[in-house]
Amino acid sequence: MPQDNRSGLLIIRAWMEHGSSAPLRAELSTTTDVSSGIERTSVHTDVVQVGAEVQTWLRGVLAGKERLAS
Amino acid sequence: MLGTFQFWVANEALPKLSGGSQRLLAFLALRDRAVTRVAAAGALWPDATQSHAFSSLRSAISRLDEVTQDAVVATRLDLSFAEDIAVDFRAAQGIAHRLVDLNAAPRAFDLSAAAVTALSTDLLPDWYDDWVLIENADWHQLRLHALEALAARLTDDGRLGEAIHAALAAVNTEPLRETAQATLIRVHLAEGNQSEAMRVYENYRGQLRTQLGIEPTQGLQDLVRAPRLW
Repeated sequence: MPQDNRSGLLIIRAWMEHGSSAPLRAELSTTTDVSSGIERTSVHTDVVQVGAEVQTWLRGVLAGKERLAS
Repeated sequence: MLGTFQFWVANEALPKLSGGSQRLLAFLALRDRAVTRVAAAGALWPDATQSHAFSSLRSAISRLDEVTQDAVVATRLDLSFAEDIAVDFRAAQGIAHRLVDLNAAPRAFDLSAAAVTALSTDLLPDWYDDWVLIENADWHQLRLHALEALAARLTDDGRLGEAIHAALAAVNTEPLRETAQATLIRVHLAEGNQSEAMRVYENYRGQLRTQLGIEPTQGLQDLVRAPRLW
């Protein structure tokens, strides 16, 4: 079985925009293989959306490892 | 280390160093004090065993050539970066700290186009080591505040063209940051260009609607819509 040495990376940078109706800003920069650099960047205002994005990224990391294993 | 890693000697860039040498030099250059060999090895090779990390550290030090080895001050326990070697990142940090400190008097260079360029540049982009990511996140915040402060100072000085350059750099660094957009709008208003200010506002409003489904704050709406007498 080939060894998978890839590392995924997720960076969340969060800040507040005071006075806004939705003050949270969370910028997510993600990659499922850090050797490829950052693959996707998105910004969210909702905690649930941020959680969903993290789950999607983890599934992408897992799918990549499963593809390599098969 | 701003933009890319490059080691210069007398205005001449050295040929590309090995990855290990670059990381060692960058790690030490980011610190203004000595670092224990244990800490350096652990930070630079976090996934390796301690003995393997030490071995990699010794290898990286031994691979430094005659010129670059002078940059590393090595004792039996510690490593540090030679004090007489200039580091662009430290210089840029100095500019930023002087600009955000309301009690500090900025130097002429701090208000220059070269300063805007330095403040617009990421630290070691595409390096994903933890110690770089953390430092870069801190730098990102500091330089945003510095660019906004620089634009405000230049506006106060009537240097409006340069102020727009600085404010645009802040906006480009963080397009969804409202204080950056407000800074740019204030410069346009100081120039008497209300239509430009409105264009910036509408562009930002469009980004917010498209990406986040929200409106700008009341404060920004008031800023751009307040009646003005010229």
